[in-house]
This record gives sequence, structure tokens and C-alpha cells, in this order.
Amino acid sequence: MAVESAFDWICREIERATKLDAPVARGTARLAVKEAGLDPETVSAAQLRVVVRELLPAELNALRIGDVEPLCERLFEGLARNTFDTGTDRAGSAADVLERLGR
Amino acid sequence: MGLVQVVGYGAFIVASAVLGVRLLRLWRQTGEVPEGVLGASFLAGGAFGYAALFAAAYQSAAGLSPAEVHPYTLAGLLGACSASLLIARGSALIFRPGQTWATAGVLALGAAIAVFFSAFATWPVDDVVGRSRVLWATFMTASLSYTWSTVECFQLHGLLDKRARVGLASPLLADRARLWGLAFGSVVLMYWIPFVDYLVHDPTLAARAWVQTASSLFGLSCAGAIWLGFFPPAFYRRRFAGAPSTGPNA
Repeated sequence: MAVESAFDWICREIERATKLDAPVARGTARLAVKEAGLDPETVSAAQLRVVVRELLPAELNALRIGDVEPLCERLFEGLARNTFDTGTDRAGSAADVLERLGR
Repeated sequence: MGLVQVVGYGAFIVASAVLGVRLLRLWRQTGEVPEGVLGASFLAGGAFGYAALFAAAYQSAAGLSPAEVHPYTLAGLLGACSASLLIARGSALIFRPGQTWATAGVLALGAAIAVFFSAFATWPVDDVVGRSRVLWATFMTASLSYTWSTVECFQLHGLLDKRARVGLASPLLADRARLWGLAFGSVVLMYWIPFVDYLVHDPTLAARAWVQTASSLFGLSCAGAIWLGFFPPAFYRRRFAGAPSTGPNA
């Protein structure tokens, strides 16, 4: 069975826990990921954990969903526990080069 | 040539030479292609190319004939064209790795530059108007790679700035992307300002003084951006003190 991406996993978890429609759950997660300067296609679990801590609660609260904190806590722990498929972070790779050039 | 032009172009040439040498030394240590390509581009275009063009402009202003100035212009153009191709290759490697359209763009740019440069090199020296047209066509084609790099750098800055706000990237790195964009953007304007003047002005005459001054000021801004981006002094680094050095990119 193919491993899903961390982004797909949190979208599914948000949809399951909140009864939001799949497009709304996905759109909400997408907004938070974009707000962090990340790409939903390539965001890693480590990066998503930061998004879940820093930005996702505000996006979910804006939808007047109850129990946002326990949900985000479950997502945070699930991202650390599970294995996910990760794409290539182009901006991250470019930043690595930029850092090297400035040494 | 006025003091402002000498200072502006001079700072640009010196900053390019220093950065070029530094990146080539880094390339010898790491063996990574981007630092080699960019180091060579700064030496070829900013240092050698502009120094030769600067010499050509100086000699032209001193009253030397087009035939006498031609070797300097040709050498400067060769440097600028080589730098443009190296910058394009560097941008493809750094910002668009593995993307076919980027490689195709670099090849297309290389072909266009080769055609224009060959035309200029073989154009009759006494046809001042025709030569100036080919010269500017070559310069403006060469400027495309700097325009591309400018856009990529500012896009990267936008992403890294957002990441830095949540601790996923270093603010110093986000700022370096911005400064790199400013440096490349300054080079674009160093091409565009005299080009616009050329379009609206008598092409047989040298660029007007205010045009040279404006262009040289962008040389100065490029040098400043290189200095702050790659050789940041302590007071500038302190702005980013306490911030994380890297974020989880993987």
C-alpha cells in the first residue's frame, strides 16, 4: 500500500474529527500551510507539526469548530508517530544552497 | 566620466570580483556546481565584463575611434554574455532543479546570445547605428537571465519570510534571498536604463550623463546588496540575532 503524504493525512483527520466536508477541510489545511510559506504537495511531517502548532488552530477557530486544541494536539502527535511520503521541497533546497553560498 | 559613475561602477566591479573569488574558493572546497557557476559568472560579467566596458566608454569619451574601442567592447560583451549564461544555468540548478523547461530556457538563451554575439563580432565597425542595434539586442537578451534570477529570488524571499515567522527558516537567510534579488534587480536596471535612453535618444551618441549616473547608482546598490548579503557586518547580523539558523526543510 502506498504511503500517503502528511498533508493528505491531516486533511483526512480534520474531516473525520470535525465533520467538515472534504474540500473545506482540505482548503483550511491548505490555507495554514500556504501561510507558512510551504507547498501542500511537498510539505514534510516536521514542517506540518509547526503549522499545526502555530497556524492551524486560528484557521479552524475561524470556522467556529469546537475542541480545536485537542484536535491539533492529536494531529501534532500523529505527525510525529506515523511515516509519510515526502516530496522535494524546492524552496528548502534553494535555501540550503543560499546558506552554503553565504558561508 | 564623473565621480559618481566611477564610484558606482567601481564598487560594482570590486564587489563582483570579491564575491566571484569567494564563491570559486567555496566551490573548490565543496565541489558543488552552483557556487562554481555563480562564482564564474560574477568574475566574468561583473568584474571582467564591466571593467572592459568601462574602459571602452572611457576611451570612447577620450575621442578614440570606434575601431580602436571595438576590442574592449567585444571583450566586455563576451564577459556579459558568459555571465548571463552562467547565471541562467545557476538559476536552473538552484531554483528549478530537474525541470525540463528551465534547461530548455537556458539552451534557448544560449543560442540567442551566440547568434547576437557572433553578429556583433563580425559587424562592420564603421556602421555605428547597425552595430549599436546589435549590441543592444545582445545586452537585452543577456539581461533576461538576470530578470529571471530576480523573480526567483524575490519569490524565494516571500516563502522564506513566511517560514521565518513560524520558525521554519532563518530570517538571515530570508533576508539574503531578498538582497540577492536586489543585487540581480540592480543589474537588470543597469541594462534597462541606458537601453531606454538608447531608444529615445540619438543612437550614434554616447549615453547622457544622468543616464550613466543613474545606471552607476544601481551598480552601487548591487555592490551594497552583495556586501550585506554575503559579507554581512556585525551590526547587520545583530538584526537577526537569536533567530534559528535553519528550519526543518526535509
